[in-house]
Amino acid sequence: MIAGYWARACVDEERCLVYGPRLGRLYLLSTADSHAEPMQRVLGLHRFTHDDGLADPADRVLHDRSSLSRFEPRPAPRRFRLFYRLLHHSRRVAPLALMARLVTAAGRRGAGRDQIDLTDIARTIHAVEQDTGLADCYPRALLTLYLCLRTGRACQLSIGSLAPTRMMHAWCSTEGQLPYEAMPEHYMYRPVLMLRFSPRPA
Amino acid sequence: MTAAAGVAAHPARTRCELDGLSVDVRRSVAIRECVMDRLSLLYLSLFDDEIEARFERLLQRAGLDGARLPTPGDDDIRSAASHVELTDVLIVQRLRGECAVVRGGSCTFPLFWSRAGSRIRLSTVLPLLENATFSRSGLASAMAAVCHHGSYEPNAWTATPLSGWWRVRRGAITFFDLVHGTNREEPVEQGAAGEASPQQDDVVECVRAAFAAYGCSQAGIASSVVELSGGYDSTLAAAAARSMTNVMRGISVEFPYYEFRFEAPVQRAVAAAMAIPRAVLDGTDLFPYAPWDHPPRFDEPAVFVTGIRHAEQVAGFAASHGATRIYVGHGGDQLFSTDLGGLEPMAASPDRAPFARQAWRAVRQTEEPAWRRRSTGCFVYDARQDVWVKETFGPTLRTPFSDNAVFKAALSWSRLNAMQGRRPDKAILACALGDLLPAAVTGRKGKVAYDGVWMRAYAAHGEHIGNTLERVAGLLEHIGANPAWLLKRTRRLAEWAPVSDREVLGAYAVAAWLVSWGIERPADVAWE
Repeated sequence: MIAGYWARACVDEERCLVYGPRLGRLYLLSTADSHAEPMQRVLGLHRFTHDDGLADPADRVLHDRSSLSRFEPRPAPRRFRLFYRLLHHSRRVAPLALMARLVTAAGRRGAGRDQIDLTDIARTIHAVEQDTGLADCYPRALLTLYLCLRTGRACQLSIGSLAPTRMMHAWCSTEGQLPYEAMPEHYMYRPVLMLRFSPRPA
Repeated sequence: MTAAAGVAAHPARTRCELDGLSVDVRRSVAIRECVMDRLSLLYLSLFDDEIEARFERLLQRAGLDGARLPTPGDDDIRSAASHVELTDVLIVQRLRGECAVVRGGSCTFPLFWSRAGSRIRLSTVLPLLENATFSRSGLASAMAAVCHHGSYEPNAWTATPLSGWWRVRRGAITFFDLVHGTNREEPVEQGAAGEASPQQDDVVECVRAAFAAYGCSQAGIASSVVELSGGYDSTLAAAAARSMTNVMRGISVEFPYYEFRFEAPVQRAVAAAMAIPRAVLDGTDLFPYAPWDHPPRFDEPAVFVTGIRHAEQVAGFAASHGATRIYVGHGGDQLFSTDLGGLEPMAASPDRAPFARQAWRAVRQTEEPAWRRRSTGCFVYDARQDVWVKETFGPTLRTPFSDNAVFKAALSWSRLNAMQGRRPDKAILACALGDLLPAAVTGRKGKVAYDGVWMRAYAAHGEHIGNTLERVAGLLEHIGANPAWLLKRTRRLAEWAPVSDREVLGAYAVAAWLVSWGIERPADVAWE
């Protein structure tokens, strides 16, 4: 079971945006509806703790596209390129919560085998995005989750909303840092769901 | 006659007569004229205090000196064109009955032309209320311009809302044959082909030199205001222009929303680092579409009308403090975070539904992919507000990023990044001008997206948008737009339905323009 928190992003006095992990969608609800337990159950929020003061677990972005341009480019391993593409396309068939569980299982299986630092994680993700020509927050967050767990790090997967728009963003941070984000933008998105992961099952 | 001796100022003159050509110049635009035996030059700029130096520099660099070059050929004019500042205009009248007009890519005032018998008439004013004949397709195109070309003055086509009047293209040389009454156009490429591959140190030096020159050009300013956003661009615009004699004030906009929570502290820190006082405007009063106090009488419909309340507040603040200049960072992203070697993308077509068949034909014609090269300087910023601000409030807006030298440095930066397979970013500004940038700016989280502000704007001003569209509903119908569809779309936007707003943006730009000029019914003006 994944531990997590959810929050509402109020857009005015009567309405709020709520992220439903069951289907991986953002819903514009009346404030009263968002409090109703049956609604929370339908959306898949009942397992998580409600906290409207949910804070962004990431204080800083360790590397962005600009800072990594100082490093010598290196090719991304083929398995990571394939994995990234798979994660990118998975959103059409599986919600984020399910994908996060699968990625967690895969990451834990190899936990502690790689001893690489956060800069290496950032460079790996950057190289994957360069090589695949894709740069999207969704597969990036899941790949970060995988690499963090694989290297024995606890991490948090966050979903944010730029209320009142329907724009969403996903990011994965560890030790208060976001290893890589192409353009720093997570701070604009109010966290509406935050899932905690540790390298070993509780 | 030498060039220097031929330079004459005409601050109050509105019409310049040249052989076969008349040029009407609005009073807010400064003129310098150089008349030689077989050559006449007119230089136009919005910057009264800088035009002298700009014109002299052009004459020196381009070799347009009558003593040496009595009758410049087309190649001489092409060479001169790359030295014309992006905000300005150069008109070259040659003896052979030919005239060439170089209009900078970010020209801060409009320029139109028409034929008057055998003469060509150039004008910085579109003569709207002078018994002019309006064009339905011209207005439909203006609406489409907002949909396809964002906020920039349309450049892909030259039709205007007036029949018989054409816009002089930006970032181009327009050659007029005054004998046969024909014209042809060529783009002005600011980066010369075949230039040596730049190195990072060269680019750093270019950026430093360009900003030093910009700083020198502001030496005569005694009182100014800076629009202090806390980003690289506005900070550099102000810091490079600062001097002991320039009394500077800052003005910032604050929003009480989550995504803006880091902005105010950065703005405060920048003002403190520059030791300037700062006033704060409440962003919720300045949403896009907030109604205007002063009718925004632009020469053509412009999407900038949606930001008119903000422009009024900033310009009013500057005027009330006796400032003659407003420093802004417009164009910084377009120069240093964009590949200037590429083409500016176009937005997808608007919805077919709100257009009648004839209007839709005009809309489709605006999708022409030509004239989208960024290297011409046409995609730096929408400068149409500048002349309006100067004429309505007095101060002149000034950004360093429309300076030719800064643009050329940015072109080198783009080329260097292209060679290395990277996207350009502002690291070069931090490297070259780090001493001008407070730590709060370089450590800023990033740029804030205004998507949420726009959505709130539709909720707050949906009624005003609807009222404006309704006031000119008959006219919108006359040009081939469907007011009922637009009003319905406006209501949906106000309810935050996830639908496109470009059709409403375009219609609002046209409607606000018509309302500002007091044209509310088709019978108010003549139509072709």
